[in-house]
Amino acid sequence: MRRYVLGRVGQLVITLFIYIALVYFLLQAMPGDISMIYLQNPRIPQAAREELKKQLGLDQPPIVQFLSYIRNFFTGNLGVSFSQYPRPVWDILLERLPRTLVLFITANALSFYVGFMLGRVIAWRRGATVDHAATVVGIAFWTAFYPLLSLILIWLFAYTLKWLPLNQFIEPSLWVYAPWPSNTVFGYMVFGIAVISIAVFAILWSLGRGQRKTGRKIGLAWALSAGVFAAGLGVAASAGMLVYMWDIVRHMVLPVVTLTLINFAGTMLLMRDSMLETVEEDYVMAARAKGLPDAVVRDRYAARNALLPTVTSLVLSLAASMSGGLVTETMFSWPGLGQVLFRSALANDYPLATGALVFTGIFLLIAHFVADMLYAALDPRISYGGEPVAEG
Amino acid sequence: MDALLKVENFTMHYRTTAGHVKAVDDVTFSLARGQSLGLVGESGCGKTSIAMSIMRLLPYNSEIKSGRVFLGGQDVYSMREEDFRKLRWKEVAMIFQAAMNALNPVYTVGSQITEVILEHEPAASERDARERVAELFCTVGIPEERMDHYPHEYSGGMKQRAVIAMALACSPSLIIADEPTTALDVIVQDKILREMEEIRRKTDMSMIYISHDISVIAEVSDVVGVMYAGKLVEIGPADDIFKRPRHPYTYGLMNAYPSILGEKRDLATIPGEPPNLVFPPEGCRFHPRCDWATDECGTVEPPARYVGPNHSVACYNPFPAPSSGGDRIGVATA
Repeated sequence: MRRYVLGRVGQLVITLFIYIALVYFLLQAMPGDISMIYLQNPRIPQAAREELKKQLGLDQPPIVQFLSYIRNFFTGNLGVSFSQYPRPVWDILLERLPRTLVLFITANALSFYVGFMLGRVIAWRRGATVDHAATVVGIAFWTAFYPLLSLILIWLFAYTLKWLPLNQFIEPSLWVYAPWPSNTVFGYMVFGIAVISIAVFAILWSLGRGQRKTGRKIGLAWALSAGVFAAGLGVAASAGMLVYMWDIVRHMVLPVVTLTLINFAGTMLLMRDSMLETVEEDYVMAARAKGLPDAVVRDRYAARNALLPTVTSLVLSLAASMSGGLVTETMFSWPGLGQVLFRSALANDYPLATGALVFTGIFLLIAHFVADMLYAALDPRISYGGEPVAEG
Repeated sequence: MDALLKVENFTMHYRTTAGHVKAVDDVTFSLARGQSLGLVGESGCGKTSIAMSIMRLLPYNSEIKSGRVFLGGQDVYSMREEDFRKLRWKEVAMIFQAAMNALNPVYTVGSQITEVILEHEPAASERDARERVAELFCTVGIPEERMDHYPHEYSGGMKQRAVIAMALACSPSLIIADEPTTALDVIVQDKILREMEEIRRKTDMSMIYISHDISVIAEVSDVVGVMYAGKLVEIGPADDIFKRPRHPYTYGLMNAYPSILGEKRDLATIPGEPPNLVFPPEGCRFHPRCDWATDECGTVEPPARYVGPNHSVACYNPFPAPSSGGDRIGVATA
């Protein structure tokens, strides 16, 4: 197992290197460079443009530029942005990347969960009204034109009902006198949620280990989880951050819901198909013959095995929604990485565009790696380079 | 006789796009406690359908036309589903056809057995359940430490043994073994059958063996039922059935199997094919393939009638008992 993980990490580094090279030269292959924008101003002489190119190192041959980029990259220096000169690329990415990641991970986790739950139910009750209804609704959203759907939702929930903010990441009027910058609050929020999730997971894991699920155990798990959550809220409230965090959460709702609506049908239909195969398996019939309750047969036998192929789709849908991130971020004016990428590419801001793409790539490579590990954890038949398994 | 299982005039159809498949037709038999019944017949003759009917695990497109099933005196099909669910495995357990696939690949074998013990015995603790599994593994001859292994780490024979251990988990009064050893080689098959019989004798359990392999049935059954095209054509004590078959189909089935110790001979095959059960033949379902069919056989279904103690046959012209002359058998082999 350890050898497999190490080998896999080695592969990741090589893939990353190839990816950086591709990204770098593709961006370089765009016509012109940042100095072009001065062409529009006739008062700037040609010599000034040449001087600018020299300053930014754009007069060097591409291969030299690339090598110095790589050298700097692996020493943690991503350069400075041309279009927001002299702001370091790192600084911009650090501000934007977490917002994008949190938005898309939340949306994908939610749509995977919704899709998994619905797919499980409609496969179990195939042919019933709920099956047809969920399939029709799911496909309607799946095939909807995404910008139009988001406009409709914004119009309905933000403009007409005024339940949610129209767009943006925060409500500026609220934050004028805020003692912290939005990113600090956001950072604490993400950290807090991560800690709470890990704690809840640990509680569920330690209480759910046995096979005998007593009412007391379930009650205890709920109570402890609620306690951890309340404690988290209490800490945030006592620091005076809660109102600001709530503002960020409110701004996240619409984009997350829109992405979920668009995406859940993919997982749902995959889950349904996968489960229609597992319900035919002998072990599902055996589970019924064993007199296990219907919900146990469905969840622990049919759905548990149907889950395996759907896990792969989680990563693929994450990649798909990230690459469509620009649309989401534009529709909801979400100041994330997609917008940065778009603007920097238009402005020939190579360091920033490369940095943004490279970090999207790194994230997806990590997601693939996690999916591989998850798959191995979920399916005991898969062993990655461990001791060979006796067959016969 | 204390009948553990009674199947009375049971008729069951499957709705398909081609029409109603008359899979089980007017089947009646009963099984005493501690007795073993072998159901034999060609593929598709309704053996597994009967097993599933007893378990009340028929697929959604099945339709019970008539008849009742009593298990331990209770009418299986008049109970609420939830009540009968609690009886499954506790009263009647099953060893599945293709036991290889009857284990959930993502859980350890042991946990799949403790699961069923904990489900049916609310008083048992997890430790009790694990101890029971260890004993069961010992009974069926699997090393105890294999409990925490996954099904894919087992060999075929071991999976089969594990599935048997699972069937024994709640000490049911009846186990239905549907082709329990078909996927195994003959040596392992024989060993496992003997062990199952030993366990059955020790525990006074009843057993239904379902197989197309008459040699398997011969080895383990007290009573043998022969099925043809959804009908139970002959049922009686194993000795009677094997030594003095009365129904022409039973006779054909016996002759279609080779004997290792007996003299070499050409195997007699039964001409023709089993009928399409959407449109079964009029009268006796076997008559188109039967050498002794008369006009009567093609018009009215022969009723089951007793030809000996506990031995009944659904045929107008059964072979006579040997005491009254064996000439018909002579005709058959000629």
